[in-house]
Amino acid sequence: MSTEGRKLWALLVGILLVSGPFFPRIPLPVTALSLIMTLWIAAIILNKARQPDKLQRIGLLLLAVLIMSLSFGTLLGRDAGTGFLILLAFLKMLEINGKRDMYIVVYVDYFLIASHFFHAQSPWIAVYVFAAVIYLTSVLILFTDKASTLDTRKRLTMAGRMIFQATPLMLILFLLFPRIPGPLWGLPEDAQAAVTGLGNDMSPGSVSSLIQSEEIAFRVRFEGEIPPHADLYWRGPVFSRYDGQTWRADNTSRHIKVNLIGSESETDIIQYTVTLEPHRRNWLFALNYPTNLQGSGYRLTRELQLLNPKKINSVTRYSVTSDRKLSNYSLFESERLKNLRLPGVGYLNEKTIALARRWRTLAGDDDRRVIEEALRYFREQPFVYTLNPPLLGNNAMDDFLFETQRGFCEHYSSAFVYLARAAGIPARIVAGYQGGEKNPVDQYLIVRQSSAHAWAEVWLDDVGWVRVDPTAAVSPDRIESGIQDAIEERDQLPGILLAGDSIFLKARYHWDSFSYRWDEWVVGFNQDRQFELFRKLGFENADWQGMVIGMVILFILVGAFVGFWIFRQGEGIYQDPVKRAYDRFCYKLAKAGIGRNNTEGPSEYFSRLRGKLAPASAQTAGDIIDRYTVLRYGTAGSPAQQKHFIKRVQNFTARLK
Amino acid sequence: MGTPVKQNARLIDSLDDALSAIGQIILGKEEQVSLALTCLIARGHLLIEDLPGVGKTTLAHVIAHVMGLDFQRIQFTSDLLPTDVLGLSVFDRENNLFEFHPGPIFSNLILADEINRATPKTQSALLEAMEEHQVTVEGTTRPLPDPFFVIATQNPVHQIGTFPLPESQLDRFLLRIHMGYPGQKAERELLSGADRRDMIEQMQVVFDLKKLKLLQSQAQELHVSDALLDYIQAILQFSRNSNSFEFGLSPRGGLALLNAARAWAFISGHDFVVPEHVKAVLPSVVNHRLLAVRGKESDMTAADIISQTVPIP
Repeated sequence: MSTEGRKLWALLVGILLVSGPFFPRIPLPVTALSLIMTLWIAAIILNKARQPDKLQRIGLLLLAVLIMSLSFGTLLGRDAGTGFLILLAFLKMLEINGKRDMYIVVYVDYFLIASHFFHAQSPWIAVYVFAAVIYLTSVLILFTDKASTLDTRKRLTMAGRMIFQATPLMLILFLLFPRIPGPLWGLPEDAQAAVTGLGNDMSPGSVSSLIQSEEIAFRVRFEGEIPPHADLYWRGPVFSRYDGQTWRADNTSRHIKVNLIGSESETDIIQYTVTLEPHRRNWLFALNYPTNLQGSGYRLTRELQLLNPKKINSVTRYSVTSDRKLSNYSLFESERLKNLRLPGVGYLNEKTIALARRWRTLAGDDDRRVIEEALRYFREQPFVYTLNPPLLGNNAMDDFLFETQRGFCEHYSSAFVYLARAAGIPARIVAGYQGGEKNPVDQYLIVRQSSAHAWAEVWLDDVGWVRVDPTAAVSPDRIESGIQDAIEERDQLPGILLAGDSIFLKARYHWDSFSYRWDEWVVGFNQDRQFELFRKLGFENADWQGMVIGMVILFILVGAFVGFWIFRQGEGIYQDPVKRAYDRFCYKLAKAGIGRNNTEGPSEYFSRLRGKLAPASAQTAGDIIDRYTVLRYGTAGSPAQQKHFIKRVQNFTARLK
Repeated sequence: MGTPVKQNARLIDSLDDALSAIGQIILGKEEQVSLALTCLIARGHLLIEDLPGVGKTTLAHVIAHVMGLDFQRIQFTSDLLPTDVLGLSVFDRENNLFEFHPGPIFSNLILADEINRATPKTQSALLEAMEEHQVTVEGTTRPLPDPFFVIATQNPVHQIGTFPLPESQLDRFLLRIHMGYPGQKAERELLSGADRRDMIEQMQVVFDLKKLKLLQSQAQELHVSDALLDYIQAILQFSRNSNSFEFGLSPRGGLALLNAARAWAFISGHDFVVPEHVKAVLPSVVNHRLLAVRGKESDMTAADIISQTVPIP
């Protein structure tokens, strides 16, 4: 195969390697056009087809733009951008003409391979990207390997070695490059595609649909023991407005800042760090009650919700201190009213209200009695905890409480809140996750979407907001041990929850432990993490200016080290002043256009040089080369002779300018 | 330049005489003649690979004559036995004891003609003698004359019933050269001139054994600078690390390169070795030692690849 053909094949493999993983993600027409162009390029390399002429190229470009605008409607954004770039790279391959074009294709490939991280940041992707980068580098080596002395394996080894040698610089950049939290590093908007997770509102079915997902919501590492399963209520969004169908969050009091003061007794304090997978919402999850949060910008609302100023679009890590008891609590009158409100006419659920009123008369002023009555009702009536509840009508609570009596946690919590409000007790729904599975490998908690849950909170004047979980009354197993033991329709649960104690499961835990660390240390390495690292290293007041300075210093150090190493390598050459002078001589002549080929011996060089210099210069140059030959290859001359030689070279090169 | 030149001046003059004398017989092949003498002076052995009739035998003849060496020619055939080369003991009835009859190998210059036609057994008898500079027959070790110079010829066309020397054996030859056809002018002169064999008979002997040995030891002492050793080491490293060759040069190959370059520099009248001398002997030293990897720049020999790739330090 010709050298040119080899280079083109290598390029084609490279571009497929880089764009292949995008194909399932980009629209079919884009993939199709890419593959057609692949075949065309292969045909060109095999001399079975000709390169497209100018008209065809313009046609192809228009086709590409047309396909892009039909598929995306834009050329901007993550998906459209990478898709278009892929098409352009293939187009470039079609019109390759000379070395420059080949280099351009490789550089576009480098960019494309990096853009994989827009889509996913898993360790697999990182390994793939590394491998592809090594391959692309080996293609660059192929371009420069003029004597074709290296086969593919040698080139790959060499590229791998180069990448390996670059790792110190990579690490310096990774650790020190300033992470500026803000839109500069943010992903374009279309990257925020829908993900599974809790939504902004809750209606029957919105939690049970999550149960079937084994995706990880977040992982938690506790300082000390993991609290018992029944205590692990991870608070997320709070829903206090009900229209008869859907529970919604109330945002009116969001801007009010709240500081909770806990009882601060040792036994009540739980400290933990959450690594949250992106869920495209603002809220963070915490146990009751988050009193202290490390990190910047987080806020606690009046509804005791933790909010991040921005949507969680990347893996986020935060440390929380929770206190089981609070020492300050209050309820504004507006909040009391809000949490007592029932939906309007048509959705009144009169039977439910009547039931609640009956309990209220029975209990008198004692709110706790009412709650107990309600829980007893759930316990004693034949309620069923199920993933597939029947549909409910306009008076959803009446239907559920008195007729179907089959439901999931959203049914129980909303019915309970409804009953409490009807009985005059301020109540609201809290959504979040309940429980989690312990990873035996690394002693942290994995909370999956399947742990999604909803429960109720009621206001008791002497205590504050108190959690009540009516689901626990119906199905204690759900809270004590987890969803897998509580539900009838086990076959609808994700396999991981049912896998038992198999090797497969152990492997899963090991893998999860690894990807958790990956998320913690690589993907989640943000500004906070960076500062934390530097605090640990003893730099108390690390800021990004300091990091830039540190980065520059480390780069200089690495450069100096490499330079010193090269110098040491080259010492054999440069300990000889005669050789140094001769190199300068050759260098000056090279500037005049008659440089020495480094495989040329002195007399070979002179015979080539002679014709190209003016006779007088040629004479001097000849003398210099003769002297050099004697001094370097004969018995080394005296220092005086060496000095004389150096002097002559200086004179000669001075005149050459 | 240095004093060694003056010391060697007379030797060099004689060498020039010898070269021009040989040049009168072997026309238009100055480089091959010089390489052959280089080989002799570097105490190596020479392999000439070429078609029959291009003057291989004549070259051996004229060198032997001019350099004052006694000359034996062994025509290798498939039924040639090791004893035919080395000699054997014959029972002497009169004196009632075994008497050793030395074979043709006990000479200064051996022409081992068409070495690839003999069986490996016979070949290796010769190759061992070349390496050891002595032969062991029937338990008695007998030294070979000094200088001892073997010129072997090999027909490159692999005919039926030949045993081409394996690469490992080729390493024992310091240099391998090709004669090639003579040029137009040389051919004409050859056709119109007198019989070469007669001319050799009438030729003056330039060297004797003592002078030749002096020549060899003088060449051996020629100055080699560190810079040049760096170059030779770079070549060795390249041959071992590069992908172009099946395997690299052996340490013996490295010594061969150095000695050949020395002898070449000596013949050229230099009192030290420069990289150009290394490059000049490179094809004859490395091309039979290095096997260029198939399918890669097939028109480039190992020496071409080396001299175009290895930078001169």
